[in-house]
Amino acid sequence: MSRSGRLGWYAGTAVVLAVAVLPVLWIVSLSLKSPATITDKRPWPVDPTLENYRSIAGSALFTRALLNSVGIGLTTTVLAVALATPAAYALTRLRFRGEALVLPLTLAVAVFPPVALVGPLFDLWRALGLYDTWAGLVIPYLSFALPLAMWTLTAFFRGLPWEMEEAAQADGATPWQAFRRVLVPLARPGVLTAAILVFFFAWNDFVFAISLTSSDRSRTVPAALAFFPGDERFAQPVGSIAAAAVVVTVPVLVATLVFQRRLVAGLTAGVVKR
Amino acid sequence: MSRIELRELSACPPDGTSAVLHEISLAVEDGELLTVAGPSGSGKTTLLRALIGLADTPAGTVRLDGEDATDWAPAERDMAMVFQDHAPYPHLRVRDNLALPLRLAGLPADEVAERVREVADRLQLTVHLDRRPSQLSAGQRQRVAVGRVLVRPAPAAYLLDEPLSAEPALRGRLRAMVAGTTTVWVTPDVTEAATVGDRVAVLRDGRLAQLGTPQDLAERPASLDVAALAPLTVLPGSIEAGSLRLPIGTLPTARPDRDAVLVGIRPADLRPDGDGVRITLLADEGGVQPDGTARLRHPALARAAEQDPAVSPEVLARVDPAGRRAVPVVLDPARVLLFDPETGVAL
Repeated sequence: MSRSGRLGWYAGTAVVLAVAVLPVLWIVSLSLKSPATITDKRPWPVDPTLENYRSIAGSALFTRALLNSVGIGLTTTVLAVALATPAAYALTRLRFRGEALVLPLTLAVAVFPPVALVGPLFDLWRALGLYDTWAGLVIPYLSFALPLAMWTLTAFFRGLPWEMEEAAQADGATPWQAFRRVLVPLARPGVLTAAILVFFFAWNDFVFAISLTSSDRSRTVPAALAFFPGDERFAQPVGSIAAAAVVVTVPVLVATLVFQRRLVAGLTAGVVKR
Repeated sequence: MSRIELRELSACPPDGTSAVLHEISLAVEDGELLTVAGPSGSGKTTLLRALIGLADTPAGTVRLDGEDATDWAPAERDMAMVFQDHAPYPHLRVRDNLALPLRLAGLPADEVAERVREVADRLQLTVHLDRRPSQLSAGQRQRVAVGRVLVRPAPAAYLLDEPLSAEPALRGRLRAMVAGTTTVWVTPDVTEAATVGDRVAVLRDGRLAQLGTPQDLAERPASLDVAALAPLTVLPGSIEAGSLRLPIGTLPTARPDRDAVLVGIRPADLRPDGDGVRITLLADEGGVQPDGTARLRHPALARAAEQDPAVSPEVLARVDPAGRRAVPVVLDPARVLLFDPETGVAL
């Protein structure tokens, strides 16, 4: 690469990094500022304090929302993976009528705009008693998470060496042993990828969470942020919101970094034919 | 160890709707090594899959020691199979790959370790035991696949689909290791089939073209297909009043008249001297090549490589490197093979 080309490369990288990372750093910085300095417009905290974190940790509003987020996220993940894994297995391994339609139809469901669903769901959930419950959020999440998980898993399963199943049977395994000892270990990275994607989808959702809840009972963190009280009337609770935002971002960041390679491998599975 | 018998067995591949094996009847005796040869697509692999129970068998039976095993699951048949292109289990280290069949069979841990050590030693895999398959070469992976089969204490049979195709040097050793156990060994290479097998089965388009000892196949091929698996010069001819007319000359024959026959001449039957009809071949310009081969042709045949008569090594040894162009050879008329041009069946 020429000198000017390299400079251009660095400049481009810097711009992308700035756009992606600066807001996050700004939020971290805000979360460490005291109420007195929060509006000082400086990029770093002059007098860093954990006061905001202590305040949200002591607030039932936030801890309950965190519990809701984790609970609803995990429930969605377990259900989506438990349903999508056999579905993807069937789509990969079985030939049946209409098979070619299943994946496109699930995709059609997944691209449906959530906002269009919120109104009808609001009315329906109130009639059914699902409004402001965990199930009231898990169900709409599943309708988006299932297609996501099915696509990820189907792509992954298509790349699995299914001959291994036969090899195991030739080695004296029963079909169940072949599945347990050979296929399940091989499928684990794909299932993990699908689980992480689904969990993040549920974890990050705002539209359903704000519309289909009305109390601490099932409000998740992204929705609860809007209900943080200020220190005084009319004061914006910027510090607490920033601290809460950091707390909910950290697990996403950590998981992405830890599973980075698997996520990429899982997401691109089936892209290149082996 | 077992006697395997197929009776009019038809079989389909896993994805296929139509049978690729048609009414195969053959028996592999207890302890015998049967090689299965044939061009690709002739049904060799499907035959092995039918034997172990991984193929659909719409018709016919598989019998193990006289018992009808057609509907038995692979695990019940207790055969050990090396698949053609199945790599070792990618998630297991070599050691655990080799141990899996023994663990499935419920052998105690110390016996498993002992047998794995022994097989790894015989297949030169000891230093690789703690590696993952992804860290191995193609040949090493094939050895792991073979090892997974050899490690089993006393399988009913070994089924080997082109074993060690990347490691020809180890085939002799493998031959010794399976000796005494009923074995079906698939190979596309006829020379390998004849060298390794007690008997050879030749498949063609999913049918059994011939079954016999390597000598049977060489002396009396049942069809042009079988004969052509080895080097063979094929010429068109006709029989008229006791004379077999060929482009390269006329041979006496006792056969009845025929308008058209195909005549196969084996290299070993074009000899430098002896009884028979004398034919004069021409050595190509340049005489003998550095690798010991020479291109010989006949003036009546087109100048194309596939038309060049293949000759015995003794004749080649007579070709004058300095370029004497005429090479006399002798053909024993009794040794030529005659085939029906329509069906390819030996006459």
